[in-house]
Amino acid sequence: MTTPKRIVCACEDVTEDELRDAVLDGFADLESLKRYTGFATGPCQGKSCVVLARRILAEMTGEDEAALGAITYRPPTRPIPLRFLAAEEDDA
Amino acid sequence: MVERIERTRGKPIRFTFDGRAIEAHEGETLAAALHAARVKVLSRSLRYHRPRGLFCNAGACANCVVRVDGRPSVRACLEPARAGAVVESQNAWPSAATDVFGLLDRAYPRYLDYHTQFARFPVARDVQKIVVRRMAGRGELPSIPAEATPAVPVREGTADVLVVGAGPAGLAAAVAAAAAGARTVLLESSPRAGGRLRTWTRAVAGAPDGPAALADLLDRAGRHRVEIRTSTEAVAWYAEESRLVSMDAEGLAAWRAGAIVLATGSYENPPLVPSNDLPGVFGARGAIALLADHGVLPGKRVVVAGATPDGLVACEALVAAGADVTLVDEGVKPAWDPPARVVRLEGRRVAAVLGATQVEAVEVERAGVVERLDADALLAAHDATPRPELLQQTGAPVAFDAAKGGFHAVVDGTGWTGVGAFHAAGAAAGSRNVETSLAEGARAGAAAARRAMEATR
Repeated sequence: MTTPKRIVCACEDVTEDELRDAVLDGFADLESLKRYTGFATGPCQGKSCVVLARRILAEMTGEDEAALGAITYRPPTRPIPLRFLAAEEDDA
Repeated sequence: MVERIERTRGKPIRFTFDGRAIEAHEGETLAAALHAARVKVLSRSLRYHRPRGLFCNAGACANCVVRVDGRPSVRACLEPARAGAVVESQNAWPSAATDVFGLLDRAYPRYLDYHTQFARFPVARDVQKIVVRRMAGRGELPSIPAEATPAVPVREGTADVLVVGAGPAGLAAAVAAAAAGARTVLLESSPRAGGRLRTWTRAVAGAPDGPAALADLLDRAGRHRVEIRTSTEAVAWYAEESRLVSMDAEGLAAWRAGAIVLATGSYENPPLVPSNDLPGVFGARGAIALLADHGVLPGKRVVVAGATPDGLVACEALVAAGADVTLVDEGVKPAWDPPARVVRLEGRRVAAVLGATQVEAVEVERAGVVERLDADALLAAHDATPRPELLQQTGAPVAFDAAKGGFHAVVDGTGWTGVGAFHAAGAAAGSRNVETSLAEGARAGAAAARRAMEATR
């Protein structure tokens, strides 16, 4: 029987309870919260988790969602097989 | 009623999932074939070994990853079913359906706080680290010999106009750009072009429904020689090199283009309720794409959450295919009436998902009163969120849409983002429906063609 967790980040199994406790511990912006709990760091690279975390954070801090901004989406936005990167010629 | 509805299908083939033979048809994705065989639990989750299955059916989330012929973390929603393939669940033993490590989920009913657990007891902490790291994970490393997977160089590609995303906005943009004389390349991450047009049941752009509008666009794209590359995902924008990088099964390609149209669309979100991750919880668009693309029903007794256009379209598609459908409005006033056979629950919200390893029931709530609906699927039909990655990498100015929970580009009348040669259209530019996506896409495509051809003159 699966327990009734509210999952914010399915890739990294981060629950709403975990996020809320982390906000109370002072990780009260998206990037800190991401670094502490690991949400948005899985293979999907931050989709629904960012939407849900931003809503939770806005509700808890009273800040505007727009002002909370976004996490940084660095390239590449997908896991890439190493063999796709390994054949570059040396450009010393 | 069976999960596969009547329709013409490809040649029958067979593959295995966790050792069990699965009957499939050529042209189906792994996800469609598995779902038709009533296999909904595809893998287990990273930390708590919770059952996971198909959610978005669009390559956005990573809930449906499986191991295919020794390759780990393959998205089942994008991967074609191939005869003889050995498909296995990940992070589960002995199988996804009955994973003994599912105990971890019960051992940590709220969550496992690895920052503080046993923090005062160094030995216990170290032991726990070893145990948890063994049990957690994303499957095993590839078992394919290195010689079989040689390194491949990055290819180069050029276009006058490069369009990212073959949904309504992207297709309309590509057709307009090519009609204006631009050499146009259209990248689409999923195996099929069309996006929401594939599943849209309403009249649109003078056509009786989405598929008819899509057929017309594809016909025009063919006549104007748009190069459509499906199963090709844009994965990076490198501003310093002015290259957009895409990935397909063969490798990477670095594209140079006179103008780029971002028509990257949006992704669906689950509701934040208990057990929102159970297999059988779908994004509404993704679930009915299963039906439109493969003739596979997402469920027989379906709860649709959200009386949004996506929710209403899902109701229409499901009822036409013979499913029992309950529409929970989630406080949304429907833009039109759902079919008469749909049970409508107004002023209610989904409060919880129930089930041992997949959806068995949905609890809905109104003013503290909870009722239980037996169901085998829950379709989340809330406003979808614009895909943020490439848009952010371009540095284009954005605006926040609270209902959608994300940022979209702020564009002028030609779809220009104000940055470089980037145009945007559709959900990426704040469009709220298929009709406006088509119109704005066409404008952005035509303007991108002008920009590209001025640049080369």
